Amino acid sequence: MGKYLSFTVAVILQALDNGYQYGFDIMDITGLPSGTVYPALRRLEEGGYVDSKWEKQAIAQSAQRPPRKYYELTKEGKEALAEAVQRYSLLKRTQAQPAPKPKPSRAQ
Amino acid sequence: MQDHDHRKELFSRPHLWLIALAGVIVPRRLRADWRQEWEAELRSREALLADWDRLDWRNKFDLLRRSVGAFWDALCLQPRRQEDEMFQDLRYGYRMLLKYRGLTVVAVITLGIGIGANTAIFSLINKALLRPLPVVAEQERVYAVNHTTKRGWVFTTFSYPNYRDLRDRNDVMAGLIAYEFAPANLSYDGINERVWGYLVSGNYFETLGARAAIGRLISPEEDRLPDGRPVVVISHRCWQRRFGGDPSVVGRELIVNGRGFTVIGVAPRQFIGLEVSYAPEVWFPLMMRGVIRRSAAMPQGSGKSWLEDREGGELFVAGRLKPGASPAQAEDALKTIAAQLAREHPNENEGKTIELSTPGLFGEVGRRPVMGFSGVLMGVVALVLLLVCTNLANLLLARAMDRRKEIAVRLALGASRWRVVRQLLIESLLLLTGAAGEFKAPMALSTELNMDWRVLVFAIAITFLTSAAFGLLPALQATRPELVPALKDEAMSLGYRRSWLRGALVVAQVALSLVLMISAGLMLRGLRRSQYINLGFNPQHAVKLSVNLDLQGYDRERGEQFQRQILDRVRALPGVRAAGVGNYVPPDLHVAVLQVKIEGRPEARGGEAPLAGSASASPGYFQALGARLLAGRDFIEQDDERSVRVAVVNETFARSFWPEQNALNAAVGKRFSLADRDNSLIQVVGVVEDGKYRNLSEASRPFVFTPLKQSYNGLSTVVARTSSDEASAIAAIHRELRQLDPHLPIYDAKTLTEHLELPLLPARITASMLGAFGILSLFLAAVGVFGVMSYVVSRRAHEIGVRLALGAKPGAVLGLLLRQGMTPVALGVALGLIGALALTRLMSSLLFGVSPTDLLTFTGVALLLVTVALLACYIPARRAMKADLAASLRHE
Repeated sequence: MGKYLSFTVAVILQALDNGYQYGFDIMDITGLPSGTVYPALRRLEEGGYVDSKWEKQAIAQSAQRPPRKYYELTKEGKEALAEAVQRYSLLKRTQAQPAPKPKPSRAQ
Repeated sequence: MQDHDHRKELFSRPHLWLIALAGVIVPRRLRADWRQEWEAELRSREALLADWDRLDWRNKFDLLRRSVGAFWDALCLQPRRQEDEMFQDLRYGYRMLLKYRGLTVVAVITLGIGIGANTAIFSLINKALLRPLPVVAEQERVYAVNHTTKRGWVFTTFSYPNYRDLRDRNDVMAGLIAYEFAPANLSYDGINERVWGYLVSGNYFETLGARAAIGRLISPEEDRLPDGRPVVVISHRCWQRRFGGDPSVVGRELIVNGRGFTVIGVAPRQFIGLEVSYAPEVWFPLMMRGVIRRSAAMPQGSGKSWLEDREGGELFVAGRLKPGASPAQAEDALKTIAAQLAREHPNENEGKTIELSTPGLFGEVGRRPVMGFSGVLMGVVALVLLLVCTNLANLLLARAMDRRKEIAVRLALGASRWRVVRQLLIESLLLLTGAAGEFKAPMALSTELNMDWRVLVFAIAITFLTSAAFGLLPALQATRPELVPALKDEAMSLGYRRSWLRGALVVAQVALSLVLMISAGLMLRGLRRSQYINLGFNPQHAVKLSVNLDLQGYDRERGEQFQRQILDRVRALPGVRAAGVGNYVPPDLHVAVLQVKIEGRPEARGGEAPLAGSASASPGYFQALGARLLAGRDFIEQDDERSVRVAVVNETFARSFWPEQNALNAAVGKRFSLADRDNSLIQVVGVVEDGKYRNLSEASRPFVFTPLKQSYNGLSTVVARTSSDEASAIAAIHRELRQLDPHLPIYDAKTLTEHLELPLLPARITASMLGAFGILSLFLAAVGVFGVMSYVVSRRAHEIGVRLALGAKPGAVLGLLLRQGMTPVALGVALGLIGALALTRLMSSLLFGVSPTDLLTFTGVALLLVTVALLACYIPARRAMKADLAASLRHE
């Protein structure tokens, strides 16, 4: 990852920070296509800005589907986002919009 | 059952099906996780939508769209393949290449040379022959028009009336253009320079499809009346170089040959017209010929102006086919017109017909030698590539044999056959990559050459196919599931077939390298001979300088005065032993060829007439060149306008027109006439030795010299023989010329030895290339023979041990081995000799004084090759004999 994040990547980071942690949720809130969001997530993960974890097996079983993978910001990711917000003033407006739903079900 | 349900489910939900499909290209290591992540997301979304009761077709489509994005995701994961099998193969292949280091080095170097040489030569030829001429639109529909005679002479140029009739009477050409070389003295801003230019017909630019960079180009209107419109178009390069790209050059007046010409425009960038090797700086309307080519435009012997004189002519003619007309139709149509012209003007045109050819190399005359030369080059590099491929095949075959056991082990441990084959293919690919990297460096240096990537790809593809084929063949055989013998290291079960294949490869290698080496030998011998070739003059200690008095506006009287003065001055210089002036120094491609009529013999007309080269010379010219007079006398000062017309002819002229006994003396006093004079009779006063008039490999042809005073020519080359240093002689003559006329451009100031370098250049290039390739091929053949022999010996180590143990004489066993090793060599030599006999004929135009079937070269080279092959056989055989007898018997 370069020193400066592209606006798209910054938007994804912002979405993660706002609590949208699944790939599809990020697509919904940002309006970006899956072909953009997923590769960006992989690169962010590779660069150490994002961590990924599988949700608990029990939850998946109760929903009769395989466990989902969720992403969260690392410390570097948060710093990078803070820096990106300075550069992209448009991002600031989206900061105060937390996720509409409760946190994803990983805590259970 | 569960599996079955899962599958059913996949088909009912295309978005899941897409994920399964995209997963195929995800690196295996990541695949399970990747599929799970996507599947989980899609299913959870599905569930969510179902809860909301909104799983209608729009949402289904949305799911589908999202799963299509998974392909991008999968593609983006490709760089993470490092740990995948392909990279394992690559790493393993790399290690194998390091293990067989000798083989790798040899293969990489030979491949590099093979591919590099092919790419370089093809690019060169491509540039000279195949590359489209810059700017010319739809070049494949433009053809050069040539005049040919029944005797096989080809004239690439036409007289103006013949051109005009061809142009106006034909209905197959969308435009028939004429152009003529026109050197000109250009003066601007106090600079005097001789520049190359063209006189062109008014439809020239329009027919070729060129548009002005700025201003406009010559139009038919500007080419209507003789001497009517003194305008000039300059080349883009001339505009940039001489006028700094200043757009105000349009409308400016330049002094050309002492007369003002207005610049009307700049030709498109890179436009050079139709000849690849001639880049003109200026274009003039053909009707300005009287100013631009003063002497050529003056009425010749017939007294007619150039606009009316059908004889000779210096106009190149080319045309663009009309839409729908084929080249054959056009040629037929033009031939019909030529036949009409022959009937109407039998004196000039009888026996002449028309031939079309590809433009770019001065019609047919330039094309033939260039095609011949490049044909030889292409043949040579193709041979080299073939040789490289055989060598590579041989090496790979040897290695695959060695690795039979390794392959068997891998198969026994459960590797799939495809996996092993893929591994071998990747190794071949790695070899090629190494080779490509190796020759990239030298290629990068020669940026002038403009390497053609298509050619490079072609060469690489060919070598890859070779290496793949020969790397695979044994691999496929080795991977047949007969593992037991291989694992047991049982060599004998290998059978006869594969050693037969190797033998055949050696035969091919030896034959190919023999052909290359014989060609190289012939070229080198020819070059050595060229130093002793009979040039008809002595190039040592002689210099030449040229000026063009016509261009500078000298009339005949002033010109003759200038020529007399400069000769007097040069002869007075210290160290000058002889000096003369002529309009030509042999060998030179631009030589006038005229029809000859011998007194008292029936006249042959048009294309039937005998021809002779012709030039004019002052007294002392032969002495300055160092040409020996064989009979009669040299020109003297008294041979002028008022006296009898005289000529000095060459030996071939004398012998072919007066073939009586003791012809040389008999010719003196005989009379003939030349077509471009007023048909007045010319008396032979002397016979000079034969020379090389156009190029060094030509057969002797008739030639006639006339005295400068009887056939004035403003194109004056001063030739001087000096006993002092050549460079200082050139400087001294240069000074004298400057003193006589400080504004006269002086060109081609060089020694006669330097003058000879150009005609020898193609031969030198070919010789050095062939020499290098010859040595390379000898090396390759030796490696091939050595490889086969080592292999045979190692296979038979056990047998040799048994034989020796049973009391066979070492000499007899050695003989047995050598016989086996040398059989394919002998076969290869035989085939190679036959091939060389067939091929060296093609090079005869590049060989000087050596027959293409020179016995000494053929036997010498064959012996050398056999000796090297014998050595390559002997070394491994000898090693096998010296090996520990007990060890080889213990083998199994």
